[in-house]
Amino acid sequence: MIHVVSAHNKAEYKSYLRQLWQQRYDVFVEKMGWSLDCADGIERDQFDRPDTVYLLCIDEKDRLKGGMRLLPTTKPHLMSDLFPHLCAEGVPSGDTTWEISRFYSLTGRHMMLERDKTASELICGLYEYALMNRIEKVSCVASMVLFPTILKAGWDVTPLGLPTVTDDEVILAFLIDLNERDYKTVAQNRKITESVLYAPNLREEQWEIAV
Amino acid sequence: MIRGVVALADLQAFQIALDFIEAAKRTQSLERLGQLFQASARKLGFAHYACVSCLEFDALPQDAVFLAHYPDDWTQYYLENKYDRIDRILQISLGTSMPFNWDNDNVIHGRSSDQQRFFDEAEDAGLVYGVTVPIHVVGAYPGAVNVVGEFHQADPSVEHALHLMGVYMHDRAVKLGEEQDTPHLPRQDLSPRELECLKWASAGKTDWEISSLLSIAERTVHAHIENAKRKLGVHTRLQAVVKAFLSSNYYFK
Repeated sequence: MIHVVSAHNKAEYKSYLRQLWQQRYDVFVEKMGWSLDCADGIERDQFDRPDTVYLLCIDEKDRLKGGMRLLPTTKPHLMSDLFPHLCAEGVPSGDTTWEISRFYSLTGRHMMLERDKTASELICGLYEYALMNRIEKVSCVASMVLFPTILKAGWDVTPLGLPTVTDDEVILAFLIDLNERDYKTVAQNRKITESVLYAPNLREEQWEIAV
Repeated sequence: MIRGVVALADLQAFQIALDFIEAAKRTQSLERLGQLFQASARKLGFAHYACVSCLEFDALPQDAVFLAHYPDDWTQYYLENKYDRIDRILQISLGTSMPFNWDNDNVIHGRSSDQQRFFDEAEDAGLVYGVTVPIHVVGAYPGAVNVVGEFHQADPSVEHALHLMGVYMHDRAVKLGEEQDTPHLPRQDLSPRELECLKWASAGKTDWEISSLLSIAERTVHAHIENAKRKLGVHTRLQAVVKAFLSSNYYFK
């Protein structure tokens, strides 16, 4: 299930967030070799703020399996502060545009593979969260090596500029239009047939009715 | 004036790529997709293209991709000689995930004698210099998108634009192939001349009449129509006309 962690409920997810910094270190610093400025074993930066939203994939045994970070584009975010040069016509920003970063899954050897349940739940969770919260577009920076796999997912992706060589890697800024039509296609491709968002409120209501 | 060596500004190259991408998203036919890609590649200085799955071309599975526009006799010659077995560009493409141009060391050095002959023959056919975008997606056939032209050029912004276009081209070709569920015979675009001949054939004109209308030799008309039949994978003129019409992007008016 995907748990949405934001300013409202961060306190309840303290231990998961500690795991998130550790897992992000393992994935992005150790495995992918990104040169991120961070304390040993903990990958946490200036964009992990009180108003940052996280989608966490937590399995039935309460284990953290993957995550994604969401930042409002009306405040400083990666593209505005670190990658503005990737955008040919300015960094997209506005209330209905958010930025995703630090997307990872521990269950698949290869990110974004259709049969990786964690990646599938994170992607479908993103659609659900976005459609409920009037987020129409998400911006993102990714390696061109991954880009064909990102496109294959079936969502509407538009590049914001030409691929650019940075630190021996070719990266690209792009915008994903999160509309309902593509959500259906993406979910079908990944064999997701129902909501993946953890909804504690709904459960409490059901519990009350049951009592 | 030498075409193809004009250095395009990043913005111009990006706009060409973006125009292709937006049009590719909307198109519903593989033929149209090929035309859009070729038109954009031409703007970047490359007359020909191929978007293929890196598999043996004479035994392509249903879900493979084969879209190409090369000089006519070259594609046929290539397939007849099973050049996919020695094609150095495809071989290099399988081993790398980043685009490369044909002045790259890997392309130039270490050619076998067969491969040298292959490059010589390609050059004779007007295929002198190209850029290749390898496509590697987990759980899918490896692919390659080539653009080829007559002139050497090395403009990074053009190559980045082609990289972007190549990835979208291949992605869209795979998806349209799945949607259309048509048999994936090696498939090429019809040339404007072939289309024109078919158009007049559909109006009941004979080869001789078409040859006078277009001011070309009667046997040239015959060859164009034979080529169109071969490309469409049909045996008769009528079948060719109907199939070209049903593929939705050729209009006979």
